[in-house]
Amino acid sequence: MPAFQPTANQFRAFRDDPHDGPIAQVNLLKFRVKAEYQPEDPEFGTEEPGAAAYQRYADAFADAAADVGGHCLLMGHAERYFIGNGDWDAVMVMHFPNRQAFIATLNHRNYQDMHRHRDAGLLCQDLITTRPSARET
Amino acid sequence: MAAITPTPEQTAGFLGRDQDASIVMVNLLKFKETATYAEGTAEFNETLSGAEAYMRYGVEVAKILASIGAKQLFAGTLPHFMIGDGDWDMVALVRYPSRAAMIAMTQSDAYQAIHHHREAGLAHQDLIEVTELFSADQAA
Repeated sequence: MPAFQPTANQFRAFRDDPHDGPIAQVNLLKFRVKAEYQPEDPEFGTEEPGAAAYQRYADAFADAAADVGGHCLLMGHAERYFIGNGDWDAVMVMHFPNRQAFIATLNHRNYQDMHRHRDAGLLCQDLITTRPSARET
Repeated sequence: MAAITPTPEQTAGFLGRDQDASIVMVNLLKFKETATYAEGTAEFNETLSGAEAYMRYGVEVAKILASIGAKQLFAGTLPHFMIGDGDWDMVALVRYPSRAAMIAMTQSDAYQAIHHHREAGLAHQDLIEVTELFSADQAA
């Protein structure tokens, strides 16, 4: 099932996980072919790919994450599948000192202003919370 | 379709692209419950999980990667799906200095000597070829 947000249960499971160490959020992303801003958005009517809109979100999100010790490990464009088959357009991995820092980024004062870019650019995604190996911590 | 190796078309597609370009490979990994070593191998009588067998591959392949100038950028374990509903056990990102270097590695004797651990441990995987738009180690 293509998904866009955590379910209530997924969010609770993330928040209530007692693991208190570093996490890496692995985003598997599928973009809209064309960005779809809403009439109230300043960008409404601009002709651009969904990937360009999402990149604005990714940049703003990384800035907000930096306030709580988070950072982007990698943002990459998916060229093709060498093994298996899927349909993701991009892979983004974000590192956080703990899960509270990720939640704080979602609650950042700038989040309300940035998430229109995610809405406009993103079709669906998987978000996989992992424990990073020691070298990235 | 669950796979652990490329199809002939996927291999041809890989070889048809710029062989000198560096590339990041994103591994989405699913392990077997129990490792399946072939009868007669030293590991056959050990009771290893698929994850343990794959970790033996991981330890050895890390040495080979270092020797060809490849770099493991990231490995993440104990995955939980916060959005969506897949079923992976591990995510690993490796940057190869070139596509040619990756192919040469998989054909090397050193790699062939450890590959049985991967086959014993891995149920299936996706391997996604990614070009970097940003990476922390190169920005630093």
